[in-house]
Amino acid sequence: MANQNEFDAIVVGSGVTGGWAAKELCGKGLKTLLLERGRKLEHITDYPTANMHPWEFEHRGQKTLEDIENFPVQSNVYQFSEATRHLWINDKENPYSVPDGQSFNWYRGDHVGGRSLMWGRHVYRLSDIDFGANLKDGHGVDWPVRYKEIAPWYDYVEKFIGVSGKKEGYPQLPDGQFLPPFEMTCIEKHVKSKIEERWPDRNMTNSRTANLSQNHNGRNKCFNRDLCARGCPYGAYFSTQSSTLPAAVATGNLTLRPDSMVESVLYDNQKDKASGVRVIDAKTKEVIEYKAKVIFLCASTLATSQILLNSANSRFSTGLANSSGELGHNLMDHHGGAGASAEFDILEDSTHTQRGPGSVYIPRFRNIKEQHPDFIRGYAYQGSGRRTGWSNGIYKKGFGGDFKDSLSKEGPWSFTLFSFGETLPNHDNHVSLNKDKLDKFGLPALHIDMKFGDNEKNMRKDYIATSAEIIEAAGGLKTRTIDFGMVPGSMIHEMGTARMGHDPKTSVLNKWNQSHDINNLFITDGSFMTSSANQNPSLTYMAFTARAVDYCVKEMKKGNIG
Amino acid sequence: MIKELTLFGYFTSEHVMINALNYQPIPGDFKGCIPLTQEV
Repeated sequence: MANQNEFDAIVVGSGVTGGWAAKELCGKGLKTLLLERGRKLEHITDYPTANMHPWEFEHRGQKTLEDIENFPVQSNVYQFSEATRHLWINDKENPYSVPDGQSFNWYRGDHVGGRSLMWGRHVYRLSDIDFGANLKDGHGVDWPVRYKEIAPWYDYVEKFIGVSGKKEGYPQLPDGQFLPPFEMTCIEKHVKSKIEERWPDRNMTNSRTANLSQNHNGRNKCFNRDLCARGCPYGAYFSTQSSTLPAAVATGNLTLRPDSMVESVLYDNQKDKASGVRVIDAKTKEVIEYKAKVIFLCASTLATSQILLNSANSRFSTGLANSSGELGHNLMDHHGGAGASAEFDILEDSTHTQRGPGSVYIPRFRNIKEQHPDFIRGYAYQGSGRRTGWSNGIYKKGFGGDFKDSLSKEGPWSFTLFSFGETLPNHDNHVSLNKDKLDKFGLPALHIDMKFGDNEKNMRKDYIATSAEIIEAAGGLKTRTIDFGMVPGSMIHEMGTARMGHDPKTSVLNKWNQSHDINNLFITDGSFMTSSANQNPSLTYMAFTARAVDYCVKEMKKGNIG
Repeated sequence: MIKELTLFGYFTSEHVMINALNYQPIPGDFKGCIPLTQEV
């Protein structure tokens, strides 16, 4: 390396996909610069709240009015609490805009590892029902891949990260390489048997989770504390810190640079390729250029879009790699945050041990065999059944000594279902740069314009009603439906703004996550998703990332790239 | 609100969590379905 600012590869972003890209590139011998806009965050030593008991927090772990004021967006995330506050981005320093009358919740971190530290850890494979959906009903463009090409890469990433789950043989949810599943609770087993008896095409399985049910690859198994979002001192769930980063570091080929905001990708007009990136140091505001033979954008969907839009030049006037005009468009997020819950008066002599990350999953059953009259595509449920505790007392009559004692005992069983619905790709849902609003780096903020359509709204009516139907059929008492609202971004699965496709005129990337326009530019975060499916997407991002690096390095060896 | 905060303050206090609620900082293994009398 003649120049200390020159590398074989640059990876932008150190979250789920950036960590994977860095590990794979380093593992194949490439000197790799991993850039992260956020602060340094070390495994274990930088998890200040990981071992704190509830009474050790000033507000017992609850969010405060001050939190809501300081974090107007981030404080709405289900994982936001006094215990995790330090992991959510400073909203006031990092604004974005939305059209009048609309909303979008952009939840994110600002540290090495990104949301891989706070994520929900559900991991599910897409099937050909998903990869073939756009072709079948004409929304979006055809995926340029099918399941059989991605299956070996799902195998590859699952074996490395460790996924606990149960093989079931469902066509719409392909089985993976699993560690033993976390056990279902009594009520979950009960609900499962009742649903499957009543509706043979509705199934319930153990959630497939990136928590370790046994020791794996030098990482310790989960001790069921259910405090994952604080960072795990045992490394018992997948994060950049616990899993991919140590592997990348071990190769000796990694340079990690936090506090590095990528302002733009540099483009060499003569050679018609990306030459590097321009970085603004978050602390000093110094501007530095780094060069590389190949660039992997893994900054997350919205941030990658922002970088490419900001990299517009004379050749690519609407955004780098945007000859198709699709960059920033076709933004999707799942919809959900709705379902149903009930209590049960059975199984009173049984219980479960404390906490634990396990839950249950009902894979998509809509529009698999029969066509629903009101919507196409489908949704899945995540569910959980536990004995209720003292918090039930908030809604019950009573006070005094006997009341207190009664709440110290186990309350009735409760079971809840929450839905995850597929969102159709729609060109109108898009992001652009707002030059009237600058962030702390002086860069134009993102303007996020996304609305759910009729298909999503009709699907929502069905998944709410059906969740209640399922729970009542299983014996749920006083079943109540739940609806936390339908604000885009709330499911934290934003994707699609640099979709892959066969045709460079209607897609940004080819089947290898490679830009159609610039052959040494790859995008492997959620931007590439051509459709959203209903499954939690992170596992799919990991698989495509590993596959893209494999292709890229083979092409580099042939002299086709770099 | 008062009732909620009272219950919350009581049941997340050190004394109550350890003595009345059998708080386990590190549960260890997860058993999903066991007899009530067996709970550790």
